[in-house]
Amino acid sequence: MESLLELKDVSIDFQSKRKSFNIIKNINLKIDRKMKYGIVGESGSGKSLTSLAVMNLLSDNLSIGQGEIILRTEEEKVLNHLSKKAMRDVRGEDIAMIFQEPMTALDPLYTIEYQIIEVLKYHRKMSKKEMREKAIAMLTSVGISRPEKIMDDYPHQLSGGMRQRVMIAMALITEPKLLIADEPTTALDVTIQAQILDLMNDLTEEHGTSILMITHDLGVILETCDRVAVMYAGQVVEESTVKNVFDNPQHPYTQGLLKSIKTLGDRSEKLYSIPGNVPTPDEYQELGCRFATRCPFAFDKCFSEEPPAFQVGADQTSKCWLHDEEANPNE
Amino acid sequence: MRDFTRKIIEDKVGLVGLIGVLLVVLLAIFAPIIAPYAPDKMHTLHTMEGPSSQFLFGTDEFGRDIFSRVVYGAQVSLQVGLIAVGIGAFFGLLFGLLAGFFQGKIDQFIMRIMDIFFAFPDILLALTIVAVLGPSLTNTMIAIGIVFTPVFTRLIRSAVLTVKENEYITNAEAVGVSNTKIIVKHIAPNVMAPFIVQITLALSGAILTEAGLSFLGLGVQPPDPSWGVMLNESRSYMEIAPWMMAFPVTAIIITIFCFNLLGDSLRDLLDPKLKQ
Repeated sequence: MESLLELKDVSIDFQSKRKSFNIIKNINLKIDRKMKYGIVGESGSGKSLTSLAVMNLLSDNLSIGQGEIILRTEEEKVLNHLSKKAMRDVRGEDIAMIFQEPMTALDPLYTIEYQIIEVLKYHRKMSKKEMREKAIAMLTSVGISRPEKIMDDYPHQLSGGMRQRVMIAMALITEPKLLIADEPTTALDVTIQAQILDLMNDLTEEHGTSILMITHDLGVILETCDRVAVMYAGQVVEESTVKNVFDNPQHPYTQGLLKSIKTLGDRSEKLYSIPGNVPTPDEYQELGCRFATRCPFAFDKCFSEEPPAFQVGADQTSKCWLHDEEANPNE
Repeated sequence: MRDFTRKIIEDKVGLVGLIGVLLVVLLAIFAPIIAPYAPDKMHTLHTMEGPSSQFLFGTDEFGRDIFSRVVYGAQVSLQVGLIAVGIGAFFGLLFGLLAGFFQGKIDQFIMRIMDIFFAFPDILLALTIVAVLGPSLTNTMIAIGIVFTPVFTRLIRSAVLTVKENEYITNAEAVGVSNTKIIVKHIAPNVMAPFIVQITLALSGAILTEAGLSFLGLGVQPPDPSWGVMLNESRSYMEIAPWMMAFPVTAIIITIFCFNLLGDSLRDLLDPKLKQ
């Protein structure tokens, strides 16, 4: 079966009058129907940009330099080549998005009812009454206990968790094929986080929606996703099923990330951290691996030539020269 | 809204301003009832008389009742204020929304033109425009409207830039709302607070500028009863008939003062940073 969303060799460039550089380089992703796909990476790794690129919401100084973003619903659409109007029909209808900050993601001047119904107005032909009924049903299904009352409330009257529930209701009310969740639980309490993740899981399972989960939290990935792509400095460095990545990480960066999680009962004094910082886009090396400067295993070739994505095992890729038997000096 | 009215009333200063402004408005609306005489009626036997029970504020050199002229002057002042500020506010809102939302070349184009207007002092720019268009009530309003446009544009633009960064705007885009709808439904309503405050403050500025222009003879033309015109006429008789000057000046001061009080109070009320 063909995948629902496919990113083929997508690169994103930044241009300003003075300089221009590449930010995201040759991303390849495939998200199947009903799949829960995670992108994990540090701040500045380009994970949010990737999701905005899918929605065609990049700011003016950013553009998709090359590659194709393909969405296959009833028909096949190349999202980055769609007209503005056609793209607006895709947004909210085929792909919905949940943002990180529930505090600012709702317009403070309108009631919850208005904001949920706004989505329906653009995508469904329904009477006012039907829309209201549908909105109430949706609020009920996201676990809001008195939906009729909430409908007339303004965003500031709701708690963070409630607002995120409303956001989920807004996103799923059109039954989109894909839900992009950009750090949906980062701004919430830990106890609420689990509830929201469970809720998203249940609802998407019910409607057969795929999820693209963007997060820096490996715990969230482990809890919700089937597959995961690890991003570093605008590239996918490792990609596989969540189980493979967690049990058998191949890329030194993934290994470093997993090592820096502190588990309960671990009494060692120091928390492991990967030395150095994520480079900013203007510091990206033209040649070689972008992680080489921080990699404990780096050797000459890492600085001179960019590694391809090596197939490791049956269903895992890792972008590292260590997997090349000829190049690796340690073998 | 009820909450809002209550807050204005609780704020004593704002209440004084509000009452003052309402009084001026009532004065203007009911001028024909309040004023004992027509504003241009000449009582030739009573020229330049001091205040008396027959002529409350005295009479001018043609024997016209100054009280009646001050009352009718409120009409002119408010009319100029509202229409001129209306022009400035409308174009300011339009340009500000366009510049702030689309940024880039449109922004550069609009803001550089506004900068040119900003380079001139208000009264000088208004004078120049009136001089070109010819002095009349309508042209005064147009001139003041043009002078006020850049202030509104700059204010709205900066407010739009702040509002635009909110995730609810990205969210609206992500749901498939068109640009026009986003501007009209989500951005414009969210920049209303500073806009309203600026309108009240601009009203007092417009009234003052009109009085200034009329005083210089380039605004409202005699015999129309504008406070500025009255000041101009009283100039030559300042020593022998000081009431001719005192009453219109007082009217101007009180009106401006009340509008400013109301504006200040509104600013405090609508400032999200001061909200508890």
